[in-house]
Amino acid sequence: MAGRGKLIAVIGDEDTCTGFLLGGVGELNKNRKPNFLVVEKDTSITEIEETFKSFLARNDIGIILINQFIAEMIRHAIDGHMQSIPAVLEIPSKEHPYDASKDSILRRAKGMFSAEDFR
Amino acid sequence: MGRIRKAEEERKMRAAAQFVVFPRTFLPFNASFFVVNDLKDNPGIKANMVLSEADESSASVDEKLLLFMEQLQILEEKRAAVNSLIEHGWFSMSKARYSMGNKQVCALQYASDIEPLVCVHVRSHDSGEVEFCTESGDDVRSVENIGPQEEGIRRRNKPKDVVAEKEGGDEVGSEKATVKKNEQDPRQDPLRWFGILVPQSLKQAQAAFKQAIELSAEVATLQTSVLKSRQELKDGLRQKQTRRTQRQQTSRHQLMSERGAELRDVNTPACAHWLPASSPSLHRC
Repeated sequence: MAGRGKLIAVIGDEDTCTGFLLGGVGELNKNRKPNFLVVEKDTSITEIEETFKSFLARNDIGIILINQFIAEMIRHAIDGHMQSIPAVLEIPSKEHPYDASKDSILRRAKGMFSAEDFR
Repeated sequence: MGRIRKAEEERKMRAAAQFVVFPRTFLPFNASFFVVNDLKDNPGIKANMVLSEADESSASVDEKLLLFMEQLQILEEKRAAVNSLIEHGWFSMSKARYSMGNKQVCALQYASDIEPLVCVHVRSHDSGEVEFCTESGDDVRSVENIGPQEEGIRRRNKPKDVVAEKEGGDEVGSEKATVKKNEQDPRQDPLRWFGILVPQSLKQAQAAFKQAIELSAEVATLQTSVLKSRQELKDGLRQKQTRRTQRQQTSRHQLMSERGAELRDVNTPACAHWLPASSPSLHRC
């Protein structure tokens, strides 16, 4: 079942990861590498960025769910990802509600109507 | 002479534009297409063909823009649904934490072997769109599997010979059962990580997150289609812009050539008799 399809990766706080793992998205592969990262207070931005890039490089991941406040920390890496697979979805976190103006996809769509596009 | 010709052409263009451009709003597309085809043979209508082409490109850009806006609206609705489901899941999880204890629902409770129960199938279409759809495993054993596994009526008072026969088999069976118990099934329901008898609120949280996962696949599909529509719209606008500049250039060239012809007409002695006698300055030039 799960072998043929792609995985859903999660980068988020503890509650987000626990919730989505309850939903059944979690995996520990043969190399004991998980498809999720629980971001705590002491997690460094470098670690988050490296994990995000490793998820992008993996062929078995179709969607990456990431808390928006974490996405803000590695915005340059998310904006640099232009491929459609894996799709990056920004989701809210407990402390930070979802803000559409920060979402990378909606910002790109909004950029459609700037003066530069009509030149 | 040149001015008269120009005015004549402008009048023709305006008259033809009434036929070619305006019927598009009242007639179906095919009808206006035939009108354009009928007028094709007339050399004076060439400018109107350009006009209708520009009109069509504008219409296609409008269609793309409408599609783009529609997709954005659906994306916003789906996103709101995903966010509310996630929030509902957190609330249920907090309730479960309240009843079970603070440290009972945390990252430390995750199993050592985890296998996914949900996967995403990605289909790339020829048009460039990518479709994500989730598939969840149906062979997951639920937590509430308490009680006899065999269905039907059990016979309690069995005959002695049958009991003796089964004794040997039972030993083997019990061994198998212990082996099964010791083996930790990696594909077990994640609810079991947090206990055997978990509160209802944790199950509700699980259901909410499962729905959120399904919706997130739809959101991912919509995101890719929004980006694709955006690119198409951008290309359409660029094409329209280049056509407009081309049209402007051609009209400028035409104007320049007409002015040149006009000046030549004025300079030629053949037309000198058209000029009034009271304009010696023009005669001189």
